[in-house]
Amino acid sequence: MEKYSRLIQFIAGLTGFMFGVLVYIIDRPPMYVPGFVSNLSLYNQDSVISFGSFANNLPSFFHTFSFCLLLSCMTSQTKIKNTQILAFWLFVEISFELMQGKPFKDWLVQTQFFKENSGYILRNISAFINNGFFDTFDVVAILLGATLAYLLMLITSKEEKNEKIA
Amino acid sequence: MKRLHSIASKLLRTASISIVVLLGVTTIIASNFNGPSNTNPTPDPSNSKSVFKEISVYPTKRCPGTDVRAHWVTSPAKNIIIKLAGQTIEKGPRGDYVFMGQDLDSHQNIVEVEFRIDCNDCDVKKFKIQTSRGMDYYKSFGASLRDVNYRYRVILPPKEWDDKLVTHNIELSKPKIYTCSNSLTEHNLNWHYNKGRDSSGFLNKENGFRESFSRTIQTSGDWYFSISSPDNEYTCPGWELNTYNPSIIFGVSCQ
Repeated sequence: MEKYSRLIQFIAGLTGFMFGVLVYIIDRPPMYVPGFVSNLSLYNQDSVISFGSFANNLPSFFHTFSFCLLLSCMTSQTKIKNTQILAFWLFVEISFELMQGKPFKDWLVQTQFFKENSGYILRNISAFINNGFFDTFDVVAILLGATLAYLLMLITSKEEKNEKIA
Repeated sequence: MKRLHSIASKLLRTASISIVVLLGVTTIIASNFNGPSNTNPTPDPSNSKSVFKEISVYPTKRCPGTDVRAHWVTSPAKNIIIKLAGQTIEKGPRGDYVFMGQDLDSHQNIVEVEFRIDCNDCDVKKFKIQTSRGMDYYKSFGASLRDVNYRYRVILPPKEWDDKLVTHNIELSKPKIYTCSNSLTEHNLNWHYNKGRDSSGFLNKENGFRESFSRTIQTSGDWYFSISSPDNEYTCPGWELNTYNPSIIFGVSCQ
């Protein structure tokens, strides 16, 4: 049963991730999409195939949902572990979202944290902060994604526990 | 052998977890990838005229230090060129941009920013960004509210007006002369103003249709103006306002 729990979590996580990628393929101009995904772009401003106004926040939802589950399926299926995973991803996701907020941007300007000759990783973090905006709906999407992932973790872990007792 | 298997299993699990965490963080950072600056997008072969489907620049009435944000979407998708005081920035067909407060502060009080779609005969939008460095006066017109007679609303959208801008005084510019339909007699009527919980009062002949505020009142928001006749000395079936909706001059400065 444990294998099934992990498999369900893995498949759900991967599916969530694929849906997140799909938002970028359908609703983002290719020049804003990194790597090979930009070659798969189906973006068309006038297309009827679109996630509409949800496209702005769905990636946050799917990302949190999928990575909670992908990490969960690699660790022991206990309530404590699940909570730790959830707390970790919530911290990471919300921290990155807050970094796009004005106070943090102002702080970066004041301290000149990112120099022009910063390395590859710092340059990309700088681009992430400068090109993005803090969005409360993203935070809501993150919380929803985490909640859904946690429920799925609980359901699958519970089944595993019942199996062990039986 | 069993121990070796256990160690290998643990290592594999740690490596898998590390990869997932790394992938997770990398994909977050990549989510706002804007493409390297030297990327030349493939030119669009179609010559169809591109327009701004969405464009907003805010706040356009700002205080020193405040960043101004822009958002745009072009249709059909074409790259754009942003021009601000001689500076040129190339951007994609859809995006956001922040004009940093410090940069804007180095320009004059009024600076024009132009958004031009990078093709022949395509859409161009211009915005004026005004920086308040002392007392400034802005004139705004009231829009008639259809459900109430002689009640007007002046909308100063918070997105457009920096929330640091405060109003020190308001003055009715027009109309100041009121006559009743089919009559040439002028009447002394009051204008009642109201800004929700912030303030309310009267603008009339006695105070020169002008009101000063001793406490801080945020400029942005909805201001309501209505004709009132407190003494009910004269009832008129329809006031002639000389076809003018009220225009109000706001005296504002930064907090």
